[in-house]
Amino acid sequence: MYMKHEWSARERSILLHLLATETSTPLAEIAQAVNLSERTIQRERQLLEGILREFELELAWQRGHGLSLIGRSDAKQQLREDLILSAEAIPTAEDRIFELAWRLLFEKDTLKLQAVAKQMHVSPSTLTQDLEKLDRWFDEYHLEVERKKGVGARVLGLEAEKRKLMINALLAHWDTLAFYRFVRGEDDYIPAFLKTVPCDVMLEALRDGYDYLKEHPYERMDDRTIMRVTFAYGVQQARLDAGFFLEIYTKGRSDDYLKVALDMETALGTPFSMAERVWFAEEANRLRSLKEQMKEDEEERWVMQIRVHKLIHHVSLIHGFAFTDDAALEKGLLAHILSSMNTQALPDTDTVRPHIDRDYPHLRSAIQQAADIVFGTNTFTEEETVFWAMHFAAALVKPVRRREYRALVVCSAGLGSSKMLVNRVKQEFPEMQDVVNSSLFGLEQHRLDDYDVILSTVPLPPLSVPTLIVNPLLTNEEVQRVRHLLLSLPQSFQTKEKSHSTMLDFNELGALVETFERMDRQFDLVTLDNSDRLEDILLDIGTHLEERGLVQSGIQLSAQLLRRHEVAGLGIPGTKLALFHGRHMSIERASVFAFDLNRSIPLLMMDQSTEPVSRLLVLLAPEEAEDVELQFLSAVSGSLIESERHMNLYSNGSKKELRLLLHECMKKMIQDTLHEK
Amino acid sequence: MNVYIACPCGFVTSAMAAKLFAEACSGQVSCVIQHGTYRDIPEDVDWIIYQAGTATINHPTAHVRSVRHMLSLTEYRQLVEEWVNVYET
Repeated sequence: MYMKHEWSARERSILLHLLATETSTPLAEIAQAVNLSERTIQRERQLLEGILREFELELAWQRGHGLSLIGRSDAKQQLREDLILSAEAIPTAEDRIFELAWRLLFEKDTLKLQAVAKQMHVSPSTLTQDLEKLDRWFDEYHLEVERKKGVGARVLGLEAEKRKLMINALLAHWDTLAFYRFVRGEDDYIPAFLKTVPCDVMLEALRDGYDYLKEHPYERMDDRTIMRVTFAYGVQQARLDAGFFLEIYTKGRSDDYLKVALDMETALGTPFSMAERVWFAEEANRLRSLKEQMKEDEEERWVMQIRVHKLIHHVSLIHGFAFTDDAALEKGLLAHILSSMNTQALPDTDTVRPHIDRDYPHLRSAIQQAADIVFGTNTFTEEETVFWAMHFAAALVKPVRRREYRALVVCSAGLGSSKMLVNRVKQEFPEMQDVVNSSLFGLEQHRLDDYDVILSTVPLPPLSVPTLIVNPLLTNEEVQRVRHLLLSLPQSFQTKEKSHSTMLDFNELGALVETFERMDRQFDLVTLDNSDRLEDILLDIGTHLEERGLVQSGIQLSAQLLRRHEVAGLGIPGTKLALFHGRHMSIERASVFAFDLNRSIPLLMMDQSTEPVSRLLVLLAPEEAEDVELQFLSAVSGSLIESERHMNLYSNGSKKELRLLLHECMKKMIQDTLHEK
Repeated sequence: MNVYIACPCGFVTSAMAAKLFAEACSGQVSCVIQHGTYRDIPEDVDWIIYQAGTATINHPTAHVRSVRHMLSLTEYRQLVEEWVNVYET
C-alpha cells in the first residue's frame, strides 16, 4: 500500500493540472493555470519528484517542453484519488448539524444540550441555532425535536423515517471514492460528522454488508445502489444494536428483495424480525432504477443541494479553478439537475458537444470525474454532463473582478531587507497590486487602512491590519502562510476605496480638541498621605474628585471603585500601579487622574497575585459618556501595556511625563481622525 | 472574524485585553477586534470574550468564551490557536 501523504494546496493544484494533460506542459502554462510563479513550480518540482516515486510515478522535466507525469494509468488514478480525498474539508457547520442529528437519533432518553455543546466544542446558543435548522430538515421526515427546558431534547417520530433520514445523510455526505476506500479497509475515509460520534457497530456492518454484496451481485447494481443497500444494512444494524426497533411495517413488500434480505441474514448470521426484513427489502427495492432513485432524493432538495455543492468542489479541484464561490453556478446547476430528473427525453446534445469538446476539453473530463465521485460511476451519462459543462464554462468566461491586494513591507531600516522582501513578494504574488516598503520608524507615515496585509521582518506593535513576521527571503512556508492569510481576509479587511474627500470636519475636530483640552487641564498627580486601608484611600480619592467637581458624590464613587476592585484585581502585574476605573451615574465628566501613595499598600493584581502598589491611576466615565471620551480612556489603557517603557512611565513617571503619555494618545486619535479612519 | 471583548466599564480591562488579543492574533488569524461593556455587544460578532465569573452573556449567534485572566497573552494565544484549528484550517 502507498504512503498517505499530506498534500499542500499548491502541490494538489500542480499535480491535478498535470494529471489532466497527457503531453508535456510548459511551465508558463501551469503557472498561469494554477496561479503560481514559474520559479515556485520549479522549486515544487524538486520536492514532488521524491513523493511521486511512492506512487510509482515520475515527474519528467524537459527544458523547452515542460513537465509531464509518467507512469501507469492505475498509478495516476491512485494519485488523483489521493489528491481529491485529501482535499476533503475539515468539519463544516453543515457537518455539525449532521453530528447533532446523529446524536439526537441515537439517544434513548433526552439529550442534554449543555453536555452536547461541550462535547462538540460549540456554545449552547450555536447549538440552539443548529436545532432550528435541524427542525426544517426533520420536518421532511415527519420527525419532531421535542425540547424541554432544563431537561434536553429528543426526537419524536417513526423509526422507519429516522432510518431513512440517516441513510440519506450518509448518501449525501459519503462520496463513492471515499466510501470504497473505507469499505476496503481504510479508516480515514468516513464523513467528518461521523468521526466524533460512536458508530463502530454501523461501520463494521457497512464493511460486512459491502463484502456480502460484492460477492453476490443480485442484478445490475451500480455504485450508488450498492452504497444505498449497504447503508440500509449498516443503519439497521446500528439501530438494532442501540435498541431501536421498527414498529410494524406494513408497506407493500417485494419478494425479490425479501430474498436478498433473507440471504444476507443467513450469510451474515443476523436474524431479523419480519418487520425488519420487509423494511430492508423495501429499502433495497427502492433502488431498482437509477432515475427513480434520484427522483426519490429530489424530494429532499437539500440532499441534492449538498451533492451539487460537492460536485462543484470536486470540479474545482480537478480542473484547478475555484468555481466554489459562484453562487449562480450552484443555483443553475441544481435547477438543471433537478429538472432533468423529471424529463424522460434528453435534449439533443449534438450541436453543443463539439463546441464544448473543442473549447473546454479538460473541463468535460473534470466534470465527468467529479460526477462519478459524487453521484457514483455512470449515474449521469456524458450526454447529461455536456450540459453541466455549459454551466461551468459560463462561470469560466464570466468577467470576474480579480481581487487585488496591497501589502506594506516593513523592516527596521526600510532599506536592504525590505527591498529584498518587496521583490520576493512581487515574485510570489503577482496579484499584489501594490507592494510598498517602509522602515519601522516610518510606519506612522503610512495610512495602514490602505493595506490588506503587513509583512514585517521585525516584530511590530499590534496593528489594525493583519501582520505577519517573515524572513526577508520569504521562504516557501512563509509564502503559504501569506497566501492563507490573504485568502482568509474577511470582508471587513478588503481594501476600501480611497476616499476622495479632502474637506476637514471642523465640528468633529473641534469636539475632539475641546475634550482633550479639558481632560488635560483636569489631569493631576496628587500625593496622598494615606493609611493602610484601601477603603480610606478610595474615600480620600472620592472626596478629592468631588471637590474638583468631577463627581457628584465622593462616597458613592469610592464604594463603586472598591466593588470593582473586589470583582477582579486592578493592579498591573510587574508594576507598582493599579488602574482604578468606573462608569457611574455619579460621575460628571470623563477624566484621568493619578494618585501617589506615600506608603505603598498590598493590592490584588489583575492576575490575582498580590503586590505592593504605590500609584493609583483613576479613569472615570459617566454612564452616558461620549464616544470620543470612551475612545480616549481606552487608548490610555491600551497605551499602558504598549511597551515596557510605557509601563514604567505610567508607574513611576512625573506629572509632566504622564501628561506627555496622555498627549501621545491624543495625537494618535487626532491623526486617525485626519486620516478619516 | 469579528471579536468583541467585554468588561464592566468597557474602557480599561477590555481595552487592554483587545490589545493583547490583537497581538495573539497577529500572523494567525485576521479579525476585527472591538471592545466595550457587556451591554453594548454588537449583533454582528463571531466571538465574545469576557472575564469568567463576572457576568452571564448570551448571544444568538456568537461563540461566547470566558477567560481566566483578561490580561494573559498566553491564554489568548491558546484561544486563537483553538479557533484556528477548529474554524480556519
